[in-house]
Amino acid sequence: MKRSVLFATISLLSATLLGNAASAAELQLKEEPRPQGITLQNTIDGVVYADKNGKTIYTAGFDNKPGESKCTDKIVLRGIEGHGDPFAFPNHDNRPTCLGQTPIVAADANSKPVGQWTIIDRPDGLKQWAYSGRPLYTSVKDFHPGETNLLSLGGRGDFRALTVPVILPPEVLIGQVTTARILTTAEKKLTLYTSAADTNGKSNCEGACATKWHPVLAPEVAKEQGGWTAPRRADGARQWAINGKPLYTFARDVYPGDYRGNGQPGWEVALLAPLTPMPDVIKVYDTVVGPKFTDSRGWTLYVFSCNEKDENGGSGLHTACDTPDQRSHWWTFNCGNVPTCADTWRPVLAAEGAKGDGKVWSVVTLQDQWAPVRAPEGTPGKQAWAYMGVPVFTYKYEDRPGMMEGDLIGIRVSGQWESIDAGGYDINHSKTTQVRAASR
Amino acid sequence: MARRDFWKTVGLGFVATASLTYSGVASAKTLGFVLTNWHYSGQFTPDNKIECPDGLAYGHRDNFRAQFKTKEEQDAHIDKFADIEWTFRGPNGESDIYVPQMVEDSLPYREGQGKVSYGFNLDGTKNGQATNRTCAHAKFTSPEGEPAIDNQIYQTMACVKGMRPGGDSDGMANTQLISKVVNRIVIEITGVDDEANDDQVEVTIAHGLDKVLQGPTGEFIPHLSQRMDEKAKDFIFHAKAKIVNGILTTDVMPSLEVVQMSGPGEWGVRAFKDARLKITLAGDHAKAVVGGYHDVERYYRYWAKTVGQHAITSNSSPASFYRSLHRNADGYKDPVTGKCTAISASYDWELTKAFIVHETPEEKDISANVLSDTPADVPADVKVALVTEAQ
Repeated sequence: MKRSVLFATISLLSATLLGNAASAAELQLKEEPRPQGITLQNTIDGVVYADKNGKTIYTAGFDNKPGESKCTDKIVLRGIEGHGDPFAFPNHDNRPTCLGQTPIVAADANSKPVGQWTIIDRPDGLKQWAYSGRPLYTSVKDFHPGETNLLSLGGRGDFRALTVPVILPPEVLIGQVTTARILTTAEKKLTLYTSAADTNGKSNCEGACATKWHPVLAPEVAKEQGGWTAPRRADGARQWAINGKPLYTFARDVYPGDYRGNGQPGWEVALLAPLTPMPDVIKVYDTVVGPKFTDSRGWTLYVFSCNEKDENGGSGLHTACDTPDQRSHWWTFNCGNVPTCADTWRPVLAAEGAKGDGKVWSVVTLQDQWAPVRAPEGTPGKQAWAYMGVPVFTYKYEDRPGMMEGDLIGIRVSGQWESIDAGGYDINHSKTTQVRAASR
Repeated sequence: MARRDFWKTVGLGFVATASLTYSGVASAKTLGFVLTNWHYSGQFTPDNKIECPDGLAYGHRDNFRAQFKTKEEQDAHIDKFADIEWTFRGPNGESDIYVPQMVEDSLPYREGQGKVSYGFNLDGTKNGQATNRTCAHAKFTSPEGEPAIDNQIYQTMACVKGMRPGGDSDGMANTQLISKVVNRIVIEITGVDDEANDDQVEVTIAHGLDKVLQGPTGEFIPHLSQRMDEKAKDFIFHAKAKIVNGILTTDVMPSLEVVQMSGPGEWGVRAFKDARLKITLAGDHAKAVVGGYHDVERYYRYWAKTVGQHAITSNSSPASFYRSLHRNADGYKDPVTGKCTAISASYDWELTKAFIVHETPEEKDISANVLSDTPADVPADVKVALVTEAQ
């Protein structure tokens, strides 16, 4: 899953507290008008605009002309892959379409534009809401309010959740380390921290402390608003603070996504929301390519991502081949047939009554016949753990923690198994959920 | 002190110093290397006529067209099984890459016929006869005449265009060595009293954390820092070794696993059993050979997702490649079936001298020490590379 380090240069996020207020930095939403029926929802990507049913609203990367939607109900049977060879999409008798998978956010006959919200008259006669000229959609992968399942795995390349603007100084960005949303510098995207020793909205980190924890400086003309202040330091320079907590970078952080200051006594990463708690059965192992989510034994967990990419002169659209209403041939091509696949990729079954947070970790019903995809909502069957709505599996050929032999099995342009990044899982937390390497 | 006593004292002092030197206590040093290039060992001629007299191996696109001869047949198959990149050739559309057992190639597979290779005598025999642990197989001779070398994997891969030195997969794998860090391999040799002859040194092979840098002419810059990834304990291996006439050879390592990319984008673990490493310790850029046995099934799974997934680029045919691996397997004989389950393999490595850096207490504990603006243990030229990356 490609939720590595992501920077919302549109700066559209806010934190509604999901847990302990003391460990999260609240950002104030920018006030702006929105149409009737458009709601706000808390998600792991921040506060997003949602439809009247609470389903997250998305914009699409393939809509590259303002006011024009490329998403139609056109059925595409074949594409051209990267080497120029033709290939067929699966399920010719039941092809998904873009509109079928990402329905438009429809405006009715009486709807009127307001603020950033405009209305597109589509060639098919429908009226579609747009925000800043970008056509808007929901996703069949989201079953409940607050889900952003379209953004997991391969979907992220095409879609973005429509997040609500927040008040943010130019020197600060929202960053993401897999599921942890943090504040970062705008210039070098370095993680920001706060100090417990800073009380009364002012910094107590001077001298030697400041060579290790670098203040995030504000310009002399900095405008204080929306929870952002810029108190003066001892040397007269102004430093950005959020909700009374001055912000710093850590001297040993070099790359975006580094958080080496984590765990320093008295210091915390400036998280925008408390981390999603992990179910007891889910652990983390620090593999050679970073921390990955594992089962309770420490064996790497995998999810299957299936995208049909109609590129190279085609529509440019990607349709998902991992929605519960399908049975795609691409699910089994890399492991033989249903029985051999069931032997190779093994779901992590959930105990009766088990529940996750519902957004990152959830319990879903498996399909009757082995599939890497959940069953349609409301279907009875075996219950298994899922990450962002996708069942998680272990790989038959791994027998100890840290093995990653199942990672990237598949074909990139169609379906591929991927490990799940757990970067940031220990931000402001202890590492008790980590599986330690056994001696060999 | 009388003059004679003085000089006696000084003389004894020199002797004492020399004694310390020869005992290794005062002068034992550490050598470090980073892997900067690698290829399969073996004989690869520019026109491949010696090792592949009938031509290079057919790829799976060739086998697809041999299986489905007309465009109509091809289109019908592609549509029926949503085939992509000619790979879903099994009776029910199974992938030839991931389920090669379910696909049969009709075109003959061309295996390497060359007789020259660097490597090791893994089975201990002179002529490759079967033993209770190994299967009968041909032996190779090194370019310098060293006999009885085991390198059966060469027979399987030598005629696969992309896997040969300079081929697409080979080239991409080595390009990734420069551009990525996941595939970083570092070697540290400690207890070295004499780089020419030393009867006991310690070798550590581990995953590294830093990029390699090239100068303006493309040569890898030696003596830069390379951090050993001490968190990746699964990839830290130790061996004792001897140095004879400037050539270091390790004892047998029961297991050696290295992270490598063998193609455009995917990485995997190349796992050896009974591994050995030999390094010619000369200058800033050393040549080495690493060899051992690969479990056939595990090696194939690694190959499938790194090279096989790009079978068009490598011009390989996975179904044939898989069967050839099993056919050429020469080690770890299954006592029940009598079939060998592992294949001998040898790789030519190019190493560049490096200063191996271990985690300091600061790295481990992030102590309250005052730190300078940038990490003190990173040399200035590497700092430039790191800052550029961050931007």
